[in-house]
Amino acid sequence: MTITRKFMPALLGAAVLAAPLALPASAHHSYSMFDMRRTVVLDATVVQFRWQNPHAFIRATVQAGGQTEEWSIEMTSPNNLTQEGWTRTSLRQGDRVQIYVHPLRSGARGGSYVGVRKADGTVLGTVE
Amino acid sequence: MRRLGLGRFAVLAALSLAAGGAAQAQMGPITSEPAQGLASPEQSAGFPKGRYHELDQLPDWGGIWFLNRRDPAAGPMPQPPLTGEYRERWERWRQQVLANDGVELRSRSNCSPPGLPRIMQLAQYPYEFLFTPGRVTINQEAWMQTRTIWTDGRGHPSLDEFTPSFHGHSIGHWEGQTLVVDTIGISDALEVGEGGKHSDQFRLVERIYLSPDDPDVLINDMVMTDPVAFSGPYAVSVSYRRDRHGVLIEFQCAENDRNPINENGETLYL
Repeated sequence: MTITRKFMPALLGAAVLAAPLALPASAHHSYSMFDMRRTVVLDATVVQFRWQNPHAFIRATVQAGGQTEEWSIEMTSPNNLTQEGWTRTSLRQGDRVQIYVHPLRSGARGGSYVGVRKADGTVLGTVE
Repeated sequence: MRRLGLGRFAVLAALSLAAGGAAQAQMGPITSEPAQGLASPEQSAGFPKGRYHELDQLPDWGGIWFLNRRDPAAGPMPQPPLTGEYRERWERWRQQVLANDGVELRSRSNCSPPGLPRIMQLAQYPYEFLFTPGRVTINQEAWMQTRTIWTDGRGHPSLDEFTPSFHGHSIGHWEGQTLVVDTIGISDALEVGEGGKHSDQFRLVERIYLSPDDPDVLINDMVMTDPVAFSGPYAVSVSYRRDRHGVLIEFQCAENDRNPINENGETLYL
């Protein structure tokens, strides 16, 4: 599955983590395509980290029951991420990471970035 | 022979016009007319030389500025006091959003900017303010938009002469350390508030000044009026925080458009 074990039931329909974050209103587009009340955690491998407006993006693969899923994670703007401590080299291809996202409500393999925990324990954003 | 030669010349001349001479043939004088309302043409922002020292009187708005997100304790953003058919239209918009699982259907690409007033209320993309004689320029990271505010004393053109646009026509003046900006001519296809629309009589007045409590906070008190679409004035106050050494980042939406709009108005996610 795409998610760490303890959060698996969440994707199966139960509520996951409460998301205390304020809605990032006034963005490049509406955030209503994401379920901002739910947070899921992906054990992922970075395929591409794109540092570009209007939104930085992480493409990542996730092992799910013997299959590889590809996820697309939308972030905020590079200038906002800079204020959180991100740089354009914070992630590199092949990095093993945990990515916390508000999932797409459509059920497609995408989400809105909440936080990242890198293999060395480095944390960016919100990961709890 | 002579007639043949002239004939050739005529053919060549015609070809040259067709191949790119046409634009040149229709071009008017290179200098536009000075704007209306100037004390004299030399007062125009087009004549900056010799006036740069005057800029030292203006406040210190250096660096770039990020919108301060609204305090959740302050409740939701106030919405415009729409009236009549504008209120009915907004109600239809709201019903459509509710019927579509909370997702707004769009008629324009997400790569199309929101225009005023929304563009001054974006949390993700910072702003910078540049002063030159006779004008203030606001560069917006969002969509790499540029706002020009004429401070050279010119007036607004008549709405008959102005094509409504994303930023309309802005004139400004300084009241002490406060920039007062008056904007008309904003396209009525653009939104005001959440899903609201205004008429072509819409007017935006902004008072922009450094916070008396914190010189790294810039306040923008916006008051919008519309004698056709609003039942009264609509006031929104926002503030921005300074990043003294920050720089704006390029924004070329078409190069990274992960959220195109399909034929049904739905925002896709790539």
